Amino acid sequence: MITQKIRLLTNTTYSEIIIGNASNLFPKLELNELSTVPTEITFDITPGYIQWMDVSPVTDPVVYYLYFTLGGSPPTEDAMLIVEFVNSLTDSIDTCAKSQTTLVDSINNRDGYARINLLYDFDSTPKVGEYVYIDSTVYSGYTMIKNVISTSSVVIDIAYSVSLSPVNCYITYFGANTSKCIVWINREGGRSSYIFDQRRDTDGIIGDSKTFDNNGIIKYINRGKNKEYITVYKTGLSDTEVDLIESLRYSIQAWEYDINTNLSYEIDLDSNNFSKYSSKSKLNEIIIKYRYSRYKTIQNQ
Amino acid sequence: MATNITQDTVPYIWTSANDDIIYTFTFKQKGTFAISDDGNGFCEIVLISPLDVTPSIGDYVFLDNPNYFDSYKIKSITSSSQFVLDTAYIAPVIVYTTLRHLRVPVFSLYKGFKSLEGLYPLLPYTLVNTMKPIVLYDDSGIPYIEINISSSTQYMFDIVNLVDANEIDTNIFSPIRLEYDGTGTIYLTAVQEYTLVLNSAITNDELLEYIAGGYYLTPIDKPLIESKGITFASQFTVGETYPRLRKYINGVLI
Repeated sequence: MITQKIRLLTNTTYSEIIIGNASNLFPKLELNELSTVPTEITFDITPGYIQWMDVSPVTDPVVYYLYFTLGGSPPTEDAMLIVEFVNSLTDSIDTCAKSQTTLVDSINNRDGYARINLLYDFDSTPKVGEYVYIDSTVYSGYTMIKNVISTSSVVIDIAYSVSLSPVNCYITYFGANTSKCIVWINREGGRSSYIFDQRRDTDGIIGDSKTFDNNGIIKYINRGKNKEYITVYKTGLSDTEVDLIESLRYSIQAWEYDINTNLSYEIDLDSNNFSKYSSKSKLNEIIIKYRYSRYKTIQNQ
Repeated sequence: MATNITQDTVPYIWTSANDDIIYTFTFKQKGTFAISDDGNGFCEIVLISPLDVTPSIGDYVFLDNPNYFDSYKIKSITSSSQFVLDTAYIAPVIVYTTLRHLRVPVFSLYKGFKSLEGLYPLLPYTLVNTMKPIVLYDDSGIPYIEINISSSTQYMFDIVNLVDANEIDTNIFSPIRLEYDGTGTIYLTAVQEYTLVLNSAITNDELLEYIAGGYYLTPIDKPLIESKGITFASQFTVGETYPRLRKYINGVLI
């Protein structure tokens, strides 16, 4: 049986949802008359096809299992569409990573660059060279702080073009964020991420260096390929968080993502350098050691 | 350019790179006008209409008749509609007989979009490899061609760094199609030639459950969005064809 699932938000109206590629997946299937279609769902069925469906707001989370058939007598269940209504498409977790999103009051000109004036102060005074993310329609994206006027006003590295006041947008200040955000390709084929905001260690491994004897003095010809290792620790994890991070162990590709600059760096993760512990209180701890894929280039002599 | 095969099946619109991705083809049938002794005791065929592709000596044809239900090598050729088989003439064939030219074309696997297709110029049209499969026979003894391109799709992806927030993540999937004899495979029930492959390790059946939309491509039921900092997750958005990279800043989707 072909099964397709669709997850929709409660209290939301959807119109003309093409059910993924349901018209392709369920060709020439017609609704099984035994299947009760809820009143909130309306299918547009042209002869032999499900074109799309409309959904009127559903109040509470619920799962509907809708069967389709090729026909016959009695009709057989050849395909199933699962429509799941949920209050949220995501779950949230708390992290100690330092970053603050706050409302912007106005944007004006300062020496040819955009000056951002906040409605409230940043939690800590920003520094020149740190990064912010702004989502104004005119000024948007990651940008560096060029000048700090006060705890509630900074000049960003975007050329001034127009004054905005009031402006309905947010600015995110990442601060001196030393948390390690790991992004990876998971088994399902998508990308996942997790922030390691607790203890971290750094280490370096010297490559296979070569030496030569220069009149009784041993000198290096080169230092080989030198790699930098990072070990991150995270404790107090739920089982769900562990399940998520477990998929990092087998990932075909992972990156260390720099929260401050929006840049990512390829990393290699040795499956053996992945430790998991469970404490008596059933809280989990994970230790991951990874290295940057790009090795340090050292000059020769 | 003419071809002697007909596309029979194609994969689903979305398939997993690591599961079977199968195309099948059948050989076109030609009616025989006469089967006779060529004067040397061999079986000579005369067709009602010529073969679509000029045959070569050594090619095989399949005869679908109780007296000649097998594959036979072509021994000599008079024309595309008249040739001698390397098998002894048995008896006059009374009933109408069909013949299939068992020529297997070279198939080229391409990834990416052609101009004016899909997300073009992203994912440009690129040759992955070429292949020449063997002839298979079904339970009834009828020849056909089956190509499972999974072994090629597993290694055709270039995974690079992150794409922009909420952009379609063109690193994790690609359209594919086969080309042969100057034509290409088509996706049967949609107006497009290609099917889509996700660089995924799950099965095709599991993947089908994601693509209708709303679900995130995660190993857990719902992605965990960090209250502070950045979170990334990939999602088949409701009503859209391609997966997008979702990015949350301080718990808010941007």
